[in-house]
Amino acid sequence: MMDTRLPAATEAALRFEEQILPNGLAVRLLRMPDYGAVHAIYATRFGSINRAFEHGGKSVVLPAGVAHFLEHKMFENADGVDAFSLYAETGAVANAYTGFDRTSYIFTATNQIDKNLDILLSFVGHPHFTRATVQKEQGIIAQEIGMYDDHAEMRCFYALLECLYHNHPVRDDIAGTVGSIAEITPELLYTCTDAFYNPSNMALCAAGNLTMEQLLDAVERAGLPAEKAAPTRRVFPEEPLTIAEKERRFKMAVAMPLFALGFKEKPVAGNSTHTEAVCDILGELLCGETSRLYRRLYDEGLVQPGFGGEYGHNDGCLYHMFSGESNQPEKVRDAILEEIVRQRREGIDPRQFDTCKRMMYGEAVAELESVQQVAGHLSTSYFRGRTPAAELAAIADMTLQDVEAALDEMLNEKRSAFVVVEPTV
Amino acid sequence: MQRYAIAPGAFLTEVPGDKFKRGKISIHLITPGSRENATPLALLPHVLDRRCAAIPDPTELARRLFALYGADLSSESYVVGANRVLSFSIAGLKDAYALGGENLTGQYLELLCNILFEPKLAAGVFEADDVAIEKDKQADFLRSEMNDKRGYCLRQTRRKLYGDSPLGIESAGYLEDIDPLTAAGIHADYQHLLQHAQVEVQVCGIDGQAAAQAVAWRLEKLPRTPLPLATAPPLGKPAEYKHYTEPMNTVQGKLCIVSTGAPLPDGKGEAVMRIASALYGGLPTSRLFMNVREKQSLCYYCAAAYGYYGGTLTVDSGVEHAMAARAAEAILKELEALQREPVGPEELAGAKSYMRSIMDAGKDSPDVLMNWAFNEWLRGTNRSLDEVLRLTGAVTAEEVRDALAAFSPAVEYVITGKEGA
Repeated sequence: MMDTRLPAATEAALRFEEQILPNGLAVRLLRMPDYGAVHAIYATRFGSINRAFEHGGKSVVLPAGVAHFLEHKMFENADGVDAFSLYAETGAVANAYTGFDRTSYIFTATNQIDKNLDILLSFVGHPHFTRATVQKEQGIIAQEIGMYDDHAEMRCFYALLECLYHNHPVRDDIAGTVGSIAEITPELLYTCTDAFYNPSNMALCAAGNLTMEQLLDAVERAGLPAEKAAPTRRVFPEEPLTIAEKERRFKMAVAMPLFALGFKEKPVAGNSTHTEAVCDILGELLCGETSRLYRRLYDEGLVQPGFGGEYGHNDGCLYHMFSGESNQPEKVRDAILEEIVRQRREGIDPRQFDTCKRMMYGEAVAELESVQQVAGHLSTSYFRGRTPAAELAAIADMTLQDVEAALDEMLNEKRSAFVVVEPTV
Repeated sequence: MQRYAIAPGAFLTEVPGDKFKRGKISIHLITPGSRENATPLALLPHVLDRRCAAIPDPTELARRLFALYGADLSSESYVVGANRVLSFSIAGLKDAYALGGENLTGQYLELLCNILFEPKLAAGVFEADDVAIEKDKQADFLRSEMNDKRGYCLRQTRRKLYGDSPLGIESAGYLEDIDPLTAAGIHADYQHLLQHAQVEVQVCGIDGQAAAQAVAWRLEKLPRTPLPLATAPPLGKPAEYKHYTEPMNTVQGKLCIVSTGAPLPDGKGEAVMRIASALYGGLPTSRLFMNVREKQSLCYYCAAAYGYYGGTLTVDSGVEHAMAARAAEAILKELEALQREPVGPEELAGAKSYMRSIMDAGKDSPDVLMNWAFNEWLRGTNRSLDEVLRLTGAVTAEEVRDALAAFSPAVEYVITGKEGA
């Protein structure tokens, strides 16, 4: 079995600094002095699933797509100069992305790090919206939504979430719809920045050749509020454990059918580190490349490279998904369901379990090699209330019995849904 | 970075990798590309990386890689200029990160050499099942190319541009050539490749001497007569601007315009084109992004890329179906503006600064360092990242204007709505 003591080199690679400032801002840094680049992430715990909240005595309900819309609009400053133009002077490579549970603003740079930190903290800290710019952005994002509408894998994924969830906002596309973003106004955006873009709801995470002093000085220069903001209460709709729809089929311009088989699981309250490690390994054990099922489906021509299992976890939702391309998606679905029953009955192969644990450890350490991945890891783990070391410990501590117990509870056929995207012609 | 001969037509490059957590070894086999060898050599890596004589069960091979802490074994076949490259790589944790103090890097080397040089055979040729399974997969892959509309539009544009020329060989081969392939035929292609390919081995964070010995020992057993690399001239000025449309059931249209006319660049010429294509459509503040997307809202994305071997400048864009014609006009108008007037000092400085960041940050990635060294060797230029950075810093606005002035639009390909709207 895998030795659970970490080598000194791994422990050293995991060592990071953290400070929680009086205003609630978390600052995390993993120094990589041999590296030329710095990657910084300034992120807020506000994503597409935060559609209802209470802040300052007001209850607010948002249309789908506001967090993503806000991400686009944050780059515009009051003086009309957008943040990309400021970054152009330093040469930093900047971007932003919105997920289900947070929005992240990032840059990678090899020089003028202090100036780049100033740009990052300034534009994210000083929102500026007008009716005209909001209207213009509605046109641009409508085109982005059009692009996603043609993306068969994304359509299949969201269709599955619509089947699994009755009410939870994870069922709505992160970008929203052309109709939902049309409801967005500058006032609504300001309401969201007041509630979520305050330091107590945010984290600044960085990796590379810089110091904690540089990060703290940048925070000081940014003139962020000194005190913690009034808390925002996130509200989620009631969500039963039953699924909303058993099966859905639709057509798109694809050459081969795409499918997704999903299982709705009981959401985890509190620390999810252990559950996530177990969910991760379950997908691999059932139909990853080390499984006999994968080889059979691949060699019989039932699945293509890229077929596999994964899990998703956010506030109030947890699901497994098995997806890929197949000319006989029903056969693949049946084979996965049979394999779940077989492994429940016969038990999990201890040798396969051990090799999968080793793979998960190797992947986690390999991620410590790039500044982008390290900073991303610091940010993700912070918002999930843990550290990268705790994630590695969860992998090391996971036992075969833990996974077999989870297999008995999870992947229940009654809570499964199936989606097929069929070719138009 | 050190490069030395290990056998006739075979070299090894040691890429510095002390700071990385993983070590990586790549073995590249390079041979002149042709329509005849395109499909069998596109299929070959998939047949080889299923299993090997030492590990004849594909699932056991996957488990072996997982036991090596998820070591990543990869293989691919692709076209660079007029040559075909088959790359076989393995990357995994360095020994210091092994939980039980194992020697991992030695095992990576052995496994990679087994995959490439000691395949699982039956009666002296590849297993018929392996070939049959991978033929089906390759055919499915080629049929599925339209699933990714953006990539499909780019590939269709390339096909219209190059036609049957040596620069137009398909990396993934040809659907109509798959059916006649046999286990014996592909095995013969494999042996031909081992005998006649140029071999470039690269290591990063792994003992170069051990890799040199392991590969040289296997090459010595072969009757090696390596062929020189193939060359093909860039396309030159187009005789006419050709337009193509393809109706498809899509929400967003795709528009691709490729311009040609640039000569094969000299030392500084490529640095000039890096800056020129960034200014045109490679930066978040590029002319295409700021003017075609932000000011005119004619598209969602609009990016330009320079092609070294063909001397091409390709723009691809996601557009509303009804806006495609206006977007195409605006894209070419931005090129004409850059061909007329040198860019201002701030715009040029921004592009140089951005390129410096990208290239400096590349030094933090083993993949970037290894790809850089390999591509420089393929081009025969063998320059370091720092040398090219120096050349990039010296690019002038007039050089950018003159380099772009060489281009004229050659092919436009549009994916329209179902009714051709």
